Amino acid sequence: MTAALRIECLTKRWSSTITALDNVSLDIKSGECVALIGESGSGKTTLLRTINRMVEPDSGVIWFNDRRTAELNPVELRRQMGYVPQDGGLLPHWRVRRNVGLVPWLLGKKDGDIADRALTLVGLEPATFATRWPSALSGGQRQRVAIARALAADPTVLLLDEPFGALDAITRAELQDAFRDLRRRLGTTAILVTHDLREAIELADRIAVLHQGRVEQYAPPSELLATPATEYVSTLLDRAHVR
Amino acid sequence: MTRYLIVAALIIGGARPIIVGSKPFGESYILAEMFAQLLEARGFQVERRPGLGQTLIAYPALVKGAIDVYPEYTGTGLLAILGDSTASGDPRAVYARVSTALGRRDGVRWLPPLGFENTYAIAVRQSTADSLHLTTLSDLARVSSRLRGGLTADFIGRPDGLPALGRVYGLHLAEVKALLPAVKYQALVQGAVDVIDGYETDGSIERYRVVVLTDDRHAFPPYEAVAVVGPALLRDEPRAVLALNELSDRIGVARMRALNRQLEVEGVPVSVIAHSTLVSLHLVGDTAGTFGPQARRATLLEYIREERLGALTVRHLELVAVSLGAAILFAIPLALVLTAIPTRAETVIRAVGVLQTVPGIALVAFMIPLFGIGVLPALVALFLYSLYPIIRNTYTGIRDADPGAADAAEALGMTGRQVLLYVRLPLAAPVIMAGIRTAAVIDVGTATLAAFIGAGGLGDPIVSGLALSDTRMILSGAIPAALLALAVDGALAVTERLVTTGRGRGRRSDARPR
Repeated sequence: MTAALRIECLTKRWSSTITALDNVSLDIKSGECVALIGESGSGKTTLLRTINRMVEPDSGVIWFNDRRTAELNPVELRRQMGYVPQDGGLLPHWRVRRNVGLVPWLLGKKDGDIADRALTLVGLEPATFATRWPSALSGGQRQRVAIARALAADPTVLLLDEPFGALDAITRAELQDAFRDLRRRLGTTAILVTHDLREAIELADRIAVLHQGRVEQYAPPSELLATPATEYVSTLLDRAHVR
Repeated sequence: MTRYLIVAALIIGGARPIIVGSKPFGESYILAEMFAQLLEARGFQVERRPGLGQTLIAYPALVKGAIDVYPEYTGTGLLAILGDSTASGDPRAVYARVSTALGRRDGVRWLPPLGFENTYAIAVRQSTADSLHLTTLSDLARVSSRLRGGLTADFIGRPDGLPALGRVYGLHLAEVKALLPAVKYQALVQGAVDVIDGYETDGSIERYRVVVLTDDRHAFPPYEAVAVVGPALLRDEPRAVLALNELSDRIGVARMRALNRQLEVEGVPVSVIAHSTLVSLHLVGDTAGTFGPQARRATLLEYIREERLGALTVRHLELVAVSLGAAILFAIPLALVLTAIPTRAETVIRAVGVLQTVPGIALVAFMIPLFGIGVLPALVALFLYSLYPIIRNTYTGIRDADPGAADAAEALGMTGRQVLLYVRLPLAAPVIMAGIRTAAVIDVGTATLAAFIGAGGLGDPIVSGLALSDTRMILSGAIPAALLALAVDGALAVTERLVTTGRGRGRRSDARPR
């Protein structure tokens, strides 16, 4: 399988003392789900945001379908990548249907049912939810809408920034199940930022452990559990009680 | 035939009204009304612009040709206009100096004096005078550090006013409050202040039974009342200038004091006072009957029912609507531009905020050299006052609009422009509306200042009422202005609800800083 994304030697400094990414290289295969895991300040969110050029790296290259993202128009690039932030990031002055139809609308697609199909996909009944305001949704419903919005224009890559982080345990488990099912059906490449190792093991094909802007280990969950590459990874596994 | 046409054209062309102005106090109203009625009796068309806010507005208006004539005082010409503080005590010398210098500098003509002097009078309560044994300003200087002054802004600032008392008598008051001429006598008798400045001819001196202290060391320069004529009238209507000259040396100090008393104490309307004076001076024929029914003050209800009030309200609303509309059209796009250059934004917004601190009357005075008097400078001043709340709220509202939503919209592929138009601007709408409401209410209040530059509006009865000590007239402008402020705010509240309707209230998603 070809690499959907290849990240080469990415470095990003916020200032002379704060280094967010330090020579990071990863490749992500088409259809794969990769989890970026690490504690606050490890650089995982920065790495995610360099992929859709919400953050520009100081050096390094990202290949997307064999083209350098730096050469692509950032707006057009983002429209090919779904994005789900932790809080959902729904536009509070748009009803659910308009929120979900955002990217198809930006792309000038005339298909009026796109939004409703995407809602059905994430398990929300359009008849009930399409005309609601975001403020009338529960936390879990809001994240489902955010995922529907990210998927509506059929993106090649899905970027998720701690999408389940703010939910209660039961809702989180429900959404994780729903997400796994969706991925199984759609086969979309997904990059998932999380600080929850259990979530990463549950959902990802491969896990990249980030620490102080560097990749400590990049491996499938089974390999990570069996042979942690560094002291840090080992500590992380112990603390999460997954061994 | 051609010759008749030319003559007709000259007559029509020459038929522009002569604009008579006055400053905002009773004596100035009376003198201006006498000028106006005299000119009308001599066949001229007259437009009245009374109550122009003090010397710094009236005199530039005269020079600019926005008014043609108004009553002024030689001492004011010397000190406030010419800026010459080497005052000699000789009235003739002062008149000669002022009329020559200002004639040469500004092309105005100071007609021969009207016949009375109205210099400053420093007054105290009878009880103060008795207990501290005060009869002269020298007496006052001895105890001045224990007394509180309530003085007009003019008097405090002018070199021949308070500074002259310090210089000549060594008089320094414990505290000085700036008071409007209209309220100072009441403030004195009610004990809010102990010393006020007035004028020799004030009717209120008798009305409130206050004691005027003698200027025993001649600190004040002479203040002879004069009709001052602007350059345009001198050029266009020399006959009108001749007509105004008929009043020269005809009004003595006793007569003027009596006229002021009629106005301030008895409440006789200005038009009646002016007419009966001109009749008794044999300058116009007696048509006393005309004024019979009006020879008393109107009640508040009569003032409010008056047709003029409707027109004033409409004018007031026009001033507010046009200036506010222009401010919205200017401030919102400016704020949008500023969001693109956040490093400069605060500087620009603060500069606009500084405008807010310029006192209204001063801002209006700055407008005169640029725009003359009337509606245009009032609109410009109100426009400038409306900018700050709208720019500040628009900028802050857009900058702080739900950061999570704006970030997600950008990450999903909205262009910067789309984020601004479809996300930040609509989300900032309630904050922007709040800014517009603030500006509107400030505007309705500030628009009363427009009366000082002859732009009309509900400030007209307020300014006239203050000048003529007519509380009911003040209220007939102040009450509708207050109601108007409430109505405008209410109307905008409804608009605001329409703008933000439907939107899920409260519960905005909070984005964590990344």
